Amino acid sequence: MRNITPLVAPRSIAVIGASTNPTKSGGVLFDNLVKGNFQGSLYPINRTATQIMGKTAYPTLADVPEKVDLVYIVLPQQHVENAVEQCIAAGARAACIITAGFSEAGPKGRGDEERLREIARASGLLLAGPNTIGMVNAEVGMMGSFVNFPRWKDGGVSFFTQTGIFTGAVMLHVMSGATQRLPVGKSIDVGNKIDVDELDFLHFAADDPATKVIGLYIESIRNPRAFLDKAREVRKSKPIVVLKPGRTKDGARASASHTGSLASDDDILDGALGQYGIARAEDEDDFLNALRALVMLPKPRGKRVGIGTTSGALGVISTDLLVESGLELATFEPATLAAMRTILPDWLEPANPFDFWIGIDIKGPREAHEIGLTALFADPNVDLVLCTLLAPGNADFPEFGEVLRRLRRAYDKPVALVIYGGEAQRRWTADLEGADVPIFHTTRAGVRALSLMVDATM
Amino acid sequence: MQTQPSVDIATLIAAARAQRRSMLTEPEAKAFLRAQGICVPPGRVVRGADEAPAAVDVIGAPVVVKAVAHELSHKTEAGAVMFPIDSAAAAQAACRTITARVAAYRPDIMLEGFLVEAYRPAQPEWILALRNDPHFGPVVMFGLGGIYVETLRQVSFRLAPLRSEDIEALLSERPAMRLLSGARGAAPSNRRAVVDVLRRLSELSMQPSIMREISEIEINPLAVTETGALALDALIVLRS
Repeated sequence: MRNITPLVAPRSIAVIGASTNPTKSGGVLFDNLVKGNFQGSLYPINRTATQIMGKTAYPTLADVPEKVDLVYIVLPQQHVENAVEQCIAAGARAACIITAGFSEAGPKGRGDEERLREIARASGLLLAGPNTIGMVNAEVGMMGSFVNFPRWKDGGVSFFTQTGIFTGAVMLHVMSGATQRLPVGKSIDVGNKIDVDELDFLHFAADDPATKVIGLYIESIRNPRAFLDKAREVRKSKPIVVLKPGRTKDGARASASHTGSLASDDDILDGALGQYGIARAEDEDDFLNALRALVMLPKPRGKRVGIGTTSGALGVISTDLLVESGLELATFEPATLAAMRTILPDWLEPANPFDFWIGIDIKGPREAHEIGLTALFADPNVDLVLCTLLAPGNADFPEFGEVLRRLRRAYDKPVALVIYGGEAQRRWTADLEGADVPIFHTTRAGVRALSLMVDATM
Repeated sequence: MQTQPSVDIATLIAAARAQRRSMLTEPEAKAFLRAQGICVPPGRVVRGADEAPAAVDVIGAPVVVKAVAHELSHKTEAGAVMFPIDSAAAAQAACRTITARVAAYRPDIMLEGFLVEAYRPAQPEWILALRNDPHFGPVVMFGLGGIYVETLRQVSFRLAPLRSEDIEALLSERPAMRLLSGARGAAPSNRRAVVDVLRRLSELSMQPSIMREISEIEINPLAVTETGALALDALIVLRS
């Protein structure tokens, strides 16, 4: 198996097409690399400039004083092949072709891409791209992308994506702070996936201590058997979530021949992912929610869910969603029910979902939440906790974040939190920053995250 | 009149390839399944309508009569399957009707004869297949068969070979599969019968000599009753 470290965690980087003009592609990417504080040596390649953004520029790759690990190629399409040949001649180990206009652009582009692949394979040069926004590895400070990620820190989520701008758009969203920040440490976009593929990445991620959870956006799998075998091994310690669109291939199905071969590849892939314990996300929301839950939470011991809610409606909605997704409702222990009764009036018998809104009237918001949620977390029959809480003024209390933090630490169970409310919702969310309690914007998102978590880990 | 002997698959395939056929006939496919321990209804292949009454006498009415021909894959479409046939005389007439229908449907097709089989209803009809997928390798398919395969899409796939837990998961993946376990008083034996056929298909996936030759083995429909599972129709497609 190939080692793709020079591509995804390089010690030295050159950029062919690095530009002094910060509005041009080569300028933006180089600017991001410089500002991202890349820890190794950085070499702009430019025929005319002597310095770019404070770094000594070299007219050609051959002039660089060392054999670099990685070369970014940011050039017009017609110059890419020559640049790849320069990489090979100069002894570079990997190249990432940012440029578009290859297999996604028709027969000529496909031919050009095929030729690049052959040239690279013959020499052993690792290739990513073409048609990619680039690669990010926060651990080594490589911000090799057009998109300058805000609030970038290291994190346990490692992305591998086969797409153009999607990764960038998703990153901007998940790092923006509009939602809880998703701790992404690596985001390797291989665009058209000319060479380095999901199997190479799994091998890297398996041995990478910083990778805790793996997210793959893929549109094809080059070698499904080898990939799935490796994935089954890796998932034991690092859960894997796959987002692969193209579930409804009506066309492929309609072409069912006389043999009755009615399966599109996707039907088979869908079965195989479940069989090998790889969670399959349906859309980008699912994908990010599942990764957020997996990176923040411990592995569930079972699929029995305890629901704590301050809204009867959300309790019922959660129940439907979790049963439909294959999760189960936990049966509470007598001790749990006894504790729950202490915050309810005599005429109300606690059940799962446990709706304790009325407890807020009786005991006040702090005590109701503390006693009610503690009972839920403590129950040995509860493998996963789902809290759907309302946060209007009378349910609000300043110590909410503190209470949840304590429960999260004390019981170390997977928990999904859904909060509805105004100002208090924002404060509760902010108070839980860094507490490893994932917060979801809808009940569905929370249930899906728990369900995908079970798929990926059990 | 021929019985359906257990046969060596290599011989069947070699004969079919010598005739440049892309698939085995239904009697050949069923002979192969029987050799794998998968049950098929009792039946006889007859050369012509005149031999049909004797077959019915041996098998017992009601029967189903089907055309046997090398390149006739859409038998139902061609009107080449008739059931239930209640008597020896009716079976003879059915052979003649089928001959006329196939001649009208595809004049170029030469009938080899007819398969006269004990008639067994299937409710519901299940589909089981082992496919040699060019991308994924051997995969097993299971689900609701017959005319519902396309419309209801109650079928699921697993990569072969199957572990016990894969079979369990396969049998509970789609709502229709509840018909096998518990719903409407289905006996546990029904489920066991399906598990057995799935196991046998899965075992075939581990035989390189077979997987080299075959692109698909499909049983559709499989009838499941408390006495076991019966492959009512079977198709074996050769690799090109």
